[in-house]
Amino acid sequence: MNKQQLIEKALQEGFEQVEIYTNQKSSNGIQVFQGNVDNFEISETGGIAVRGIYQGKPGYCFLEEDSDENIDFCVEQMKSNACAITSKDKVMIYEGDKEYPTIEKNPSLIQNTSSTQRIAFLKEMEQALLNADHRIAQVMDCFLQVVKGEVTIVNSKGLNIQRQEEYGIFGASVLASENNENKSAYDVALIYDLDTFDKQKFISTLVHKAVDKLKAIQPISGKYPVILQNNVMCDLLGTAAGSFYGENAYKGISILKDKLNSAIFDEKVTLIDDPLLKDGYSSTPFDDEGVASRCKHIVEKGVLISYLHNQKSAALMNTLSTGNGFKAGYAGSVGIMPTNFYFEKGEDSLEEMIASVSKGILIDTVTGLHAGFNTLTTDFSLQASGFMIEDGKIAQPIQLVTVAGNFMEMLKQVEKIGNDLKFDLSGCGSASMKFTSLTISGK
Amino acid sequence: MLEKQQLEQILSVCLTTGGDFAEVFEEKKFTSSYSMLNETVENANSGIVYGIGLRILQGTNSVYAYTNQTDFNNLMKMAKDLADSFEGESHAKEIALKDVVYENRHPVAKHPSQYGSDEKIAIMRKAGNAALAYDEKITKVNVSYMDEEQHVVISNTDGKRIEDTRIRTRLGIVAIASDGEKMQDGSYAPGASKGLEFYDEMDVEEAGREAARIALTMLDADECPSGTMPVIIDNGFGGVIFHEACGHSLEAASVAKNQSVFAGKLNQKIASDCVSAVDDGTIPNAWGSCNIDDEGNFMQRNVLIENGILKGYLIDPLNGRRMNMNQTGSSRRQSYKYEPVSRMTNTFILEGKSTLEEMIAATSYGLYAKSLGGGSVDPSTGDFNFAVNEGYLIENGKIVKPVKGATLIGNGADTLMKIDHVGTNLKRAQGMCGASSGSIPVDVGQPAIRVSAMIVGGKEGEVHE
Repeated sequence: MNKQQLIEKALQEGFEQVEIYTNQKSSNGIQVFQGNVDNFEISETGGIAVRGIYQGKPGYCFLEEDSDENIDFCVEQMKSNACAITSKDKVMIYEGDKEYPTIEKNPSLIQNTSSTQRIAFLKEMEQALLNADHRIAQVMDCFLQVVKGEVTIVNSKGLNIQRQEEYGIFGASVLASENNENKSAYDVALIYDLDTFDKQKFISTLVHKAVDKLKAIQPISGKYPVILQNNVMCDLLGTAAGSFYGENAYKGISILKDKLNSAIFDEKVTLIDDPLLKDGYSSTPFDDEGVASRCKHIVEKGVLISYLHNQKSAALMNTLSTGNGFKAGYAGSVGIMPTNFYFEKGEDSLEEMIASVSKGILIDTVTGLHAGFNTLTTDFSLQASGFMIEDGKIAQPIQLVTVAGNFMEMLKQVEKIGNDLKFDLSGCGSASMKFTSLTISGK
Repeated sequence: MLEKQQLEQILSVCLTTGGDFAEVFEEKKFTSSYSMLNETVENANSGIVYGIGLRILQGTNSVYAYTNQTDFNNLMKMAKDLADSFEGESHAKEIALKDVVYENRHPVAKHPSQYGSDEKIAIMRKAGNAALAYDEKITKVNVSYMDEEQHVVISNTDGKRIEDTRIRTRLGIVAIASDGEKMQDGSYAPGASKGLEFYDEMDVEEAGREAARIALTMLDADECPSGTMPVIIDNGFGGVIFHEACGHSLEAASVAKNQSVFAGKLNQKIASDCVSAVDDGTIPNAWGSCNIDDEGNFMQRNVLIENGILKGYLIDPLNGRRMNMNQTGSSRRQSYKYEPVSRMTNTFILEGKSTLEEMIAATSYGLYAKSLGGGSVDPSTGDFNFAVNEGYLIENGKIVKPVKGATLIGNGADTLMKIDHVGTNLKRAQGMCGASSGSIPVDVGQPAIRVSAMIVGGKEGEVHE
């Protein structure tokens, strides 16, 4: 589509400012099942999101059909959408920063591999997973996704910036089975190079995750000292992230409203949003409004020192954008999202933390976050699995339990923070943490 | 959309390397959405989803490509690249596409695209104001509105070309109750395969009040106790229990690969005698209905369980090949960006004989889950979970107090056997279901049911003896 023509048309129609955001993406996904290519997928897609300011109000429209014939339609939609807005919140199109940071990244060598090489890798991994333990009854999923994309932001204030993304994801799920008991486990990892990928580590972690859960018991309901493993903490943090958004706080729909500069967590807890992290899953030189990225502390030693802001929420709260204005896909409007959002790690290893518990529970998996976690109150009650801890050692696996608590309250009483900082594929990071008491529901 | 002759050429290329079946899925979808906080319209967005999915099957293997760079030459190249992932003898043949014509089961009176934002925002205001006026403790009300018109054309190497237009709209109300210290939310989100007439036919203000009522009730609720106890799950969205505990595990994607606890159990008893359930994509204008599924087969009413006996699975054509069984009109996808697979449509437990009052009276200690949130399941183990949005504690056959924060978990195979009462008040409710072929609209539903023992996970640790 002729972007200049679209911008001119919109300006002619009375828009004060216009911005065009485009996202081009190509991907290849391959799935192997029982030694065969079960699924092979290629794609080439693009999306255009246009927004403009009309009589002080934002007008949005998105398109997937890249044709100049859509220009009139698009401007008409933007105008009608802008006219529907009754909010008086100040909105703006950003002229851009003088400089943008460079992000250090491992090269994504997997981009240069052929389908044949990718398929051979998957077949090898599937077989190796099956062979790793006789209780692995099936490798239910074994896939590779290789993606290359580019985001461009062009606006009527002269901004024209681009960022590239290139990544590969490898994932597998296995079913462990013994005496009519089934346990499944799933893991994914970023993969830069097929040759140097640590296959053995992936296999051993995943297989253990499944077989170690066999012969599970159901503990008696009650309050226990609980260690939430790093990946579980990542899940909870990602789900609770909305509480840290400036717009939610300003509008009174966050539990952290009016909490700026007050102690919200135990002083051991520091929370950081760092878009410049080397090899970070969510590293980026700028956000979707064109604001240059920078690292910022959100919680410093338990004190909330900043919310996450986009341009709009920053203006509402008389501060500057933190560079967290992102869209959930090009079709969405600009909201707020964290980048690499993580709790600073502590000193103890997971083993040391386990050794400090005489009778308690280690939770290494929670599911159903979209249902069992109330994002307004941060109360949660989640299906979970893990292990009993007895006399400082891992004992039997546990199943069909729920773990319940309140995310914000829980972090006021964190007893220990581990040194095993881990990031998930959404960019959330945490080490394992030990809590004095959470409610476990079972028998 | 592509010319018939172009489609025929693309399909033909797909079969040159050993593929035995190919399909072109064309989609153009117009969407519009608004959101409002209290009385202020904060977001308005609209746009066009547009693209094409190409699929080739060779036996039980499939390859898929999708793009929105849809000029003919690019599509021919993509078809060729995709076909190159197979090796084999050409099955290329002359393809002459014939249009399949049928009567639209889901006619719409007021097409959303013919109405401007004023009409839609007026509906939102009506619901929002009713929620705000419900009680002074209702401090925030977020109302969202969406509509979409999805036009699909599906053509395949069997010579079939078939079209469908799916029109849907949904209103979502989230009310927040606050007493200055605590906050609690309540939500209600009705939708249908209808146009704006949907809002003429329903009580929009009542929808707003329902969200407010839940938020207010839960504001002063105690924490739910935890432990194993009988649970009565009311009608409507309560049906999410069947969706998670059973529905997903009956999808051919899991069954065909022996990854479901219900694989190989056809004509066997998998639920208690009082349970019968169906998946019915033909219900006129229901949220999960379409004329045809996303491979161009007519949707149908599929009996899943009859008096506790497993009667059928939900089967897409590819998994039908693996299972040596017929497809059931169940193949669905969010958009051209997803390869289609067996999914649910409108899935619900049929009416039984008990009344809700009888069930409560027959329970000495337990939980009454009046309204539920979402959930999830691992089909390979059958372990599922879902959240209770509005719950009450039952003692000595009577409801004693509201309780909050409960999650119910269990194992599907086990829970289905423990349903000991099925009520008479069947009702369906709307949800979005996520799985490998994306997020799709589905109805869940049931009359009130009682499960004799379920694990209730609350924050209150005291276990009732």
